[in-house]
Amino acid sequence: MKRILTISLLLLSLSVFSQEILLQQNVKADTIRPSRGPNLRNFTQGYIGLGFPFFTNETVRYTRPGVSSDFSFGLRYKRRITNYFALGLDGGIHTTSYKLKQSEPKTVPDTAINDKEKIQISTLAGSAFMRINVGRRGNYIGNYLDLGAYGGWNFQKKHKTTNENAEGENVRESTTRLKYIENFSYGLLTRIGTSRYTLTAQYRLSDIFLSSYSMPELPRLIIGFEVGLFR
Amino acid sequence: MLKSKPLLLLSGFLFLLPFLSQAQQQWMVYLKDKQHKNFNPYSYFDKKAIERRVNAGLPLDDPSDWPVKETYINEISLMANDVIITSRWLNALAVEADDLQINTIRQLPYVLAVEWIKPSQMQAAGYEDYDTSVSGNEAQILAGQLKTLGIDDWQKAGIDGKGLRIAILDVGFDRADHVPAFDQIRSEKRLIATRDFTTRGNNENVFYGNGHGTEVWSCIAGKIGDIQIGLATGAEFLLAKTEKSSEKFSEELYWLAAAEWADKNGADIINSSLGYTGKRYFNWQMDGKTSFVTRAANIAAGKGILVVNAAGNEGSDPWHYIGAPADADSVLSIGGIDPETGYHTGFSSYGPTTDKRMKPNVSAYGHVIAAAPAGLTSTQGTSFASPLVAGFAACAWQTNRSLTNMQLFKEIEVSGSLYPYFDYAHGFGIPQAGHFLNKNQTPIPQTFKIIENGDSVTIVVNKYLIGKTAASENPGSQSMKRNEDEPGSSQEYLYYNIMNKSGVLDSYYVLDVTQSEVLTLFKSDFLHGETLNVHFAGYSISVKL
Repeated sequence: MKRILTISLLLLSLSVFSQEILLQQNVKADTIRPSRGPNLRNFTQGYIGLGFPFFTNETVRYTRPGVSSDFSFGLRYKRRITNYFALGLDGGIHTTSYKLKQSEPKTVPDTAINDKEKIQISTLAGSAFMRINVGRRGNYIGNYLDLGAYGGWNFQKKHKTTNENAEGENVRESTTRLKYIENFSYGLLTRIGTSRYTLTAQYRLSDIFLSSYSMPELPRLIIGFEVGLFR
Repeated sequence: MLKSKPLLLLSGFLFLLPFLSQAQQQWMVYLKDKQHKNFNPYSYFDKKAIERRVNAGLPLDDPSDWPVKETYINEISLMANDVIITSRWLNALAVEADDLQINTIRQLPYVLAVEWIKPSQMQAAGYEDYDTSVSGNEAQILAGQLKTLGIDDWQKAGIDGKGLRIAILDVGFDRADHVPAFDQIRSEKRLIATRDFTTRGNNENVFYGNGHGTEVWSCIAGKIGDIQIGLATGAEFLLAKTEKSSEKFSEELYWLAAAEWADKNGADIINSSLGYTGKRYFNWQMDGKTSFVTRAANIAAGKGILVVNAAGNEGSDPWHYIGAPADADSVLSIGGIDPETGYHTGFSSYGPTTDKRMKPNVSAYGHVIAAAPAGLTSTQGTSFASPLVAGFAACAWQTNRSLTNMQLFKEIEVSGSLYPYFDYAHGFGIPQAGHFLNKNQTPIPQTFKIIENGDSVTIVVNKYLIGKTAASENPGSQSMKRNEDEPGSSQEYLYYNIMNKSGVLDSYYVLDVTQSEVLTLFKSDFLHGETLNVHFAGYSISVKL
C-alpha cells in the first residue's frame, strides 16, 4: 500500500514537473508468481464446439449423419495437480439437432412424412474430467487427453417440421416441451487436444426417448471439435 | 440400453490414445563414470582451444572433456532406437527409445540417471541478384548500430577481431556461402568449419533453410565494400546449425553438442541468438540452473569461452523475462535498444533472473540492417543485438588477449554507457570502445546534482544539457543517445532506480528531461536502507534514502 502511495505521489510529482516517464518497471510487483494460467494451479477458459452424430445403424433411417449437429459453448475450469495430471469441471449449453430422414418406414416421432423435420434438444450440462498431459512445458496447455463424464438437464425439447403448402409457401411448425423426451441426459466423454484445438467424442448412456413411447434411439456417439477461447 | 458397437469403438478410441502417445521418446541417459584412456588433449583439441585454456588457467586434462566410454555408447546404441548425441561435458547420451527400451537401459549398472526430455520451442527473433540499397532511415540505423559500439575508435586502432574465433549457433545460414557480406572471410579462409547438428552424420552443409543465421553472422562480421555491418570483420568463424522448427527439445541437445564442437574447434566466443521460453519452461525457472541449455552454456563458459546470448524478444509478451540460456550467470546476455529513441526497445526481454541477478548484462541496437540471403534488410530482435556485441567482444579481446573470458565479461560490463548505473532493461547500457582503447579517459564532469532538503530529495540537471547534444557538450561522456538527425547525437535521458538493501532493484525508470528540476522524492516513502541511484549524461550518483 505504501508503495502504491509512493508511486502515486511520484506520478503526481512528475506530472507537476511535466517530465515524461519513458520507461517504468516495478520489479517487486512483477515477481509475484501467478497462480492462474494454462499450466498453473487454476485455469478457466471458454470454449465453442461443433460435433456430429455418428455410428448408429439402427437409427440411421431416422437421422441424417453429417447434417445433424451438436453445437456447444461453455466454460471449463482446470485444477493442475502435477505437470502431467489435472482435474477439471465444465459447464455449458449443448444444442443437438437430429434431422430426421423422411422415408418409409418412419416412426420417430410419428409416421408423418415432412419436407424437413428435426428434433432439437438443448441441454444445460456439466462435466467432470481428468486430464493427462504429455510432455514437459511451460505455461501452456500443451498436448492432452481428457477422460470424463457429463450430465445435464434437457431444458428445451423441440420438434420442428417444414412443409410446402399448396401456394408454394413454406410452413414451419414447432412443438416444444415434448413429453416423449427424457428430462435428463448423461454419458461419457473424451477429448484429445493440443493447445486450444481439441477433438471431442461423447457417448450418451441415457436414452433420448422415454421407454414408454417405444421409439428407436437416436445416435449416441457425437464426434466433433472444439476451439478454446483464451489468451 | 447401451448399444455395444459404438461403445466398443469409443472404448477403443479411449484406450488407444494413451498408447499412441507413448511411442518413441527422447531421453538423456547420464552415466556414472568416464574413461581417461586414449584422451590426449593435444590431439583432441584444436590448438586455439589449447591456447584459450592455457590463457584462462584451465587444466588441459579435465575430466569433463574425457570421452564417454565407447563400450557404454555401443551397448546403449544397441538397446535404443537411436543415439542423438553424446556429451562429454555431461557424460551422457541423448537417445530415442520407447518405454521398454529405456527401462532396460535404466537397469544398466553404469547408468546414473535417466531424464525424460520432450520438444521445446526455439524463439528466434525476426527476416533473392543481391540488393545493397537502403533507405535514408535504414542508412542511419546501419551507421548507428556500429557507431554506438565505437566503430570509429576500433578502425582507428586497427582492431577488427583478428585472431579471435567465433562460433555461431543458429537456425540456419541460408546462402551465406554466396552472400557477398562474407566474401572476404571466405577468400581468406577464415570460415574454419561448419556443422549441421540437426541431421544425422557429420553433415557440413549449414547454408540452407532459414536465413536468420546469415543475418546474425553479418551483424558480427558482415562487410560489403564500404558498407560495414558488424565489427569483427577480421575474426575466424565456426558455423553450427542447431535448430529446426519441427523438433523442439532436440534443439537444446543440438546446442549442447554444438558448444562442445565449438570448444573442440577452438572457439573463443559463442554467439547464440536463440532462446527457450514458455513452450518448455515457466519464467520463474529462469534461475540460471534449471534449463538444460543454460546448464550447457555455463559449462561452455567454464571452458573459457565467452558465451554471448540474446536476452529474448518477450518484453511485450506475458512471458516478459529473459529466456534460456540468457539466464545463465556466465552468459553475457544482450538487451535491445531502439535506435529511434535511444533506450530499451519494447520487445526486448527484461531481467532480473528469478534469483535476482542482473540481466541483461549490456545492450545494443535491437533494430538493425543485416545481410539477408537476398540483400540488405531491415530487421529487429535481440537476435541481432547479441551478434553486434559478440563482434564488439572480439575486438575488445583482441586488445588484451591475456584476459580470461570472465574477466572480459566483467570489462564489457564496466565499459557500458550507463556503468556503474544499471537496470533490468538495459543492463549497464551499450559497451563503449573507449574503455578498452583509451585507459586514460577524462573524468566526466558532473551533469546533475541531488539536493537533499529534510525529507525530500530533488534531482536537478545542468540546464545547458537539457535538450542538447550531450556528446557535443560533454565530450567523453558515456551515454545512451537518441537517434535523430544522426545516430549518436541527441538528447539525454535521466535514468533512476530504487535499490533495496540486498542490491536488488525494486523499481527503475527512464525519464525525458525537459526542465532542470526533474524529480522530487520523499525519503519517508521508502524503506530504510534503500538507495536511489541516478544516471544522467554519463554521470551517476547514489543516495541512501
